Amino acid sequence: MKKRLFAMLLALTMCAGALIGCSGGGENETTGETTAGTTDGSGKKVIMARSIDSNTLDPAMASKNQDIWMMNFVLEGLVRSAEDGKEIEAAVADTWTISDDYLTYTFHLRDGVKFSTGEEVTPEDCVYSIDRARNMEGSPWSGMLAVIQDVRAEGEDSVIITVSQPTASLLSLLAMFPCSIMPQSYCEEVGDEGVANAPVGTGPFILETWEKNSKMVFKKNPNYWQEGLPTIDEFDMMVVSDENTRMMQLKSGQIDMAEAPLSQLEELQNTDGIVVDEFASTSVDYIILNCQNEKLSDARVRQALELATDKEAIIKAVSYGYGTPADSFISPAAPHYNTELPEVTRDVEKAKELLSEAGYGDGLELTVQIGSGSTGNLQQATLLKQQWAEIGVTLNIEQIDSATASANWSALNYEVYFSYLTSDMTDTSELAELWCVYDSTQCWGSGWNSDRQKEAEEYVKMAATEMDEDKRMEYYCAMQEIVAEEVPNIPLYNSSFYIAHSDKIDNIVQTPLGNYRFETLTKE
Amino acid sequence: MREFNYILKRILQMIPVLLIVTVIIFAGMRLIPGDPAVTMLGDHATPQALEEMRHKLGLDQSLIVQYLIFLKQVLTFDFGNSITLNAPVWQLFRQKAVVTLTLTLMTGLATLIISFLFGYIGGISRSKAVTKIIDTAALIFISVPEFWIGIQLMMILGLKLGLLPVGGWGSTWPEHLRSMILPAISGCLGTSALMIRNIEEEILKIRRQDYVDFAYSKGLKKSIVRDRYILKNVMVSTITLFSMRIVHMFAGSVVIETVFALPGLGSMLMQGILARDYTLVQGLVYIFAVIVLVMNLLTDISYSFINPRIRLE
Repeated sequence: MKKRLFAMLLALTMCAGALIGCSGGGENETTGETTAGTTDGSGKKVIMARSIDSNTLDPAMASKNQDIWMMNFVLEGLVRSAEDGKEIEAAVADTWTISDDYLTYTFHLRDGVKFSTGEEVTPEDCVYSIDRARNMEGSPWSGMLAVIQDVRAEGEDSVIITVSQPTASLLSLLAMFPCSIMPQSYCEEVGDEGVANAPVGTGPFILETWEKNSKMVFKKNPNYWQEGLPTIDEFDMMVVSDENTRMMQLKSGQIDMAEAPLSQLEELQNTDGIVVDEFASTSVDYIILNCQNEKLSDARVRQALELATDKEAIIKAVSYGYGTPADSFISPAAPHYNTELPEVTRDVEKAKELLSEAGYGDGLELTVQIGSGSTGNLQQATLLKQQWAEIGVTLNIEQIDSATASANWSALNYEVYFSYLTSDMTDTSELAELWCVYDSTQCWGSGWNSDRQKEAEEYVKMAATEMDEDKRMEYYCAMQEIVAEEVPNIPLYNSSFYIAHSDKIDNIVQTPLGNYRFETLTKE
Repeated sequence: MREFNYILKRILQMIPVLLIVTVIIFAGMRLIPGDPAVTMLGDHATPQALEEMRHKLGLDQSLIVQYLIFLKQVLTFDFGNSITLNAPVWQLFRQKAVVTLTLTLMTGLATLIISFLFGYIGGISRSKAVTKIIDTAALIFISVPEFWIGIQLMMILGLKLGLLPVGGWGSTWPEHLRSMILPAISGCLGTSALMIRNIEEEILKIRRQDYVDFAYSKGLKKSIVRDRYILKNVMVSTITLFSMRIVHMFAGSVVIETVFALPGLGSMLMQGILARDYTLVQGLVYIFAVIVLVMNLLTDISYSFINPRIRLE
């Protein structure tokens, strides 16, 4: 037996040797050209840790927050969203004109604006980048970009974009990451996979290396058009999925900034040398109800469920008191939020009445599917079970893995589902379409499809082509009222983004859309 | 010649085993519900985008075709690209295997040192107090989960005293090794505790054997009897236990990797399963299967070199 062990060890060591040998070679290949940059980097380096790595950095394919929020490190569009997440500001283009019929947009490229590679941005690059996003197979954004009829270059420094009908959200759409400007030659050289792993653009940083599930290293872009920015020379984004570890790393000074878990905010705020920044967010958490389910098809049942829900209690337990009760699926931090919506306060009696009117006076049994491993969702489900029990609704909690849960949800094979959404653009049209236009997303997985829904859809379509902001506001408010009455979703709470950092770091920006804007970040 | 025939036979035997492995992995991944296109595109997926993505990933082909593609990948040892990580599976494996192997080797080393040291002291000592203390400590470490030990170590040695990094893997080899100290300690304590108890019991048993008494009566020194007669015999069973735990460490390092933010194989495989990254999981599990089979073969072959009495047949 002893011999067997010795032999095993021998074999293991041989394997180890072989593997370490292999990987040594591999590492040199990928980082060889960039080691020079790291050694002379006497400059300022900031390290941040977050809980999860990005999947892709291809702007046309990015779909999760962990992808989208990283976009502004390297990429920018013709225009970009301002820090408040509501306005549009100049980026690659410095000025633009809109024709009187609102069908033709002419963008003038900033003089001498360069990609991080040093090449000047040409109108052809812009045409290529936007067309690439419009035609990308499997892109979640190509549907939204379908309003763009044509993109063409004119002269040395102009790009002309035409739309088939007046489109109020066009600038917002162009400020969104799918329309980021990338060099055509580079994209064609490295292909889609190359872009997904290392996009190149006009943004403040250059992505130098990306070790999957471990870290991204960004270097200052010396060709950035904003003089003097970024103020730091290197930014490392680490992946540390365990939140305790992340916070200990922050406290020990191993990292400078971290995505802060709500459970530890209070302790962090009371820790010397640590500052917690709060950023307004467009994120809304809600319960989605399957309107095509027999039991939930009656709007009165859905209203009853909202009336039976104690949003304050959920905020207290699930998000540790950080958050405010929501009354619309559109966040107060987003434009076109309807401030006049009637507040829904908990009313068990009225809820019971509505239920018996709908024919469920004797009670009702519903099932919520939640991803196992999410303690927040489990807590929320448990609270709801108690709260809804008071009106005679039995809520069964089914824990399955989250990939299965989301597959069931998108196939309308569920009753109750928890989700949240952050807006990706400075306009309301994205969320409004998700929630009210049946064909494009089946009203975002609720299957809501009724006369009232058609009414809301009509408002959303009118707002999309209306160029008068006041009128758009009116349409969107009317739409929100309908959704609030029909309750395809129960909005639960609005929350903020939190970044904890050492007190040596200052001027962090995260827009309400979630994008990290770290070009102005300073380190003492 | 006989050796050669034996090795050839063993390699030929591996082929059907690996074929069955491919079927199991393939069916296993397809049987759990969930759709890689949905997990990839997330919440914004429109039905049209989902369809296009399925087409792009080849998921709209029949299962047989998909399996044949996988089989071709296996035969050419090119596992294609991970769906979610946009990189070749083989390259990802090599990158992460360094971390996991370093962790396994250091944990194994720490286990050997700790368990033999304390097991030997506990078994040989005639003081009841010493044995009791070691036994109690071992019992505690058997019952305490390793992630908890990890967090405590990080709090004390990393945060309070600032001696060692709090998680992470660093970027140079000295940093890598330094960052492995705490994970190795937290990972080794549970196994060490098991082994300490095993070593103690063995020593107590062997001490009562006739040949030990005989060695003493021959007039051999205490230290010689202990080294040559007791310790050598203790090795046999202890090392069987250890070899089983080493495989366990290599495969089951997810918890330690997560707590210490180590970018290793365990966490990557876990993530792949959760995201339904078919190609990544298929590739990784297949590579694991090959490693286990090859390790076994190498072990058996090296038997004959270590112990000439054993013949390969």
